[in-house]
Amino acid sequence: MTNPEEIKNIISDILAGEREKFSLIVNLYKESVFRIAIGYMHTKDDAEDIVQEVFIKTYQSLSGFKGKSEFSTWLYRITVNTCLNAIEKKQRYSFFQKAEDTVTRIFNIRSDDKNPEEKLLSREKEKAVQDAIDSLPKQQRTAFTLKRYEDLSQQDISKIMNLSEGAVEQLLQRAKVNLTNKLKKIK
Amino acid sequence: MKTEKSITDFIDSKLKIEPNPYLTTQIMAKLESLEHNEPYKLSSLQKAVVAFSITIVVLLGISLGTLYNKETTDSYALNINDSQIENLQIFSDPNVNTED
Repeated sequence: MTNPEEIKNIISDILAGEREKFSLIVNLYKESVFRIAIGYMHTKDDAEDIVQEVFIKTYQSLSGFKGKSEFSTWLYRITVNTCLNAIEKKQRYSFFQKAEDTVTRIFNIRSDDKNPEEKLLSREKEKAVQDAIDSLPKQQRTAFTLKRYEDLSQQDISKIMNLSEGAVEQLLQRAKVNLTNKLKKIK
Repeated sequence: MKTEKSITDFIDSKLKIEPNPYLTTQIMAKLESLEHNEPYKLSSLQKAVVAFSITIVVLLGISLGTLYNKETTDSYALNINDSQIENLQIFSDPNVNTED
């Protein structure tokens, strides 16, 4: 059920007081929102927190949805903004986050592992890719995440980001170049 | 294209992660708890009544304050517990003749 007319009817019912129908919206879009959230946050727990926050914000702002764009476009926009705000908040506590990440990485390498060196290299590579994605400018990162994690078309991405398709294409190209340059040293 | 493969492998590993199957239930429960905990909101009329009441109380306080008359207490203060001393008003009142 992705018929825009059906979605509008469900929204009307929710606004009329049938709150339980909101679960239909959640079930329809939670996987997509989760994929985008994990593209930004990289961990399951953080992504699930984002999904909860997004749907609560969506429910509370439902009366403000005028139907000028598709519901999915509006929802993805809320998702992107929520993720960007969460990242900003996280960066304020980055010292403690880095310490936690270091400890986690150390203790996650099991002593009975057959190839601890390989495991370490694999984790380092993963960290390098994650850091490279995290270091992209906001717009490049958003375009990259929407394209690679949710496989959205440039047209859909342009609607979500309020940009032209040409601008989206440029962002994707620049993101690719930036990532390639940052990851050149990976073996 | 080693870097492209690294990026693709990284993204694929993240896309394999599945969300909690009870996420919808958790979200609906959270919405319900938010609706029950919503703070009481005053209507516009109630706000106007509260503002008007505060204004009345302030004006009342100001008018009570202006009723206070400083002069009425001075002459009494001079005569309290002074039966053994001379009445100082005799000396301060210009209408009283203190000359013998």
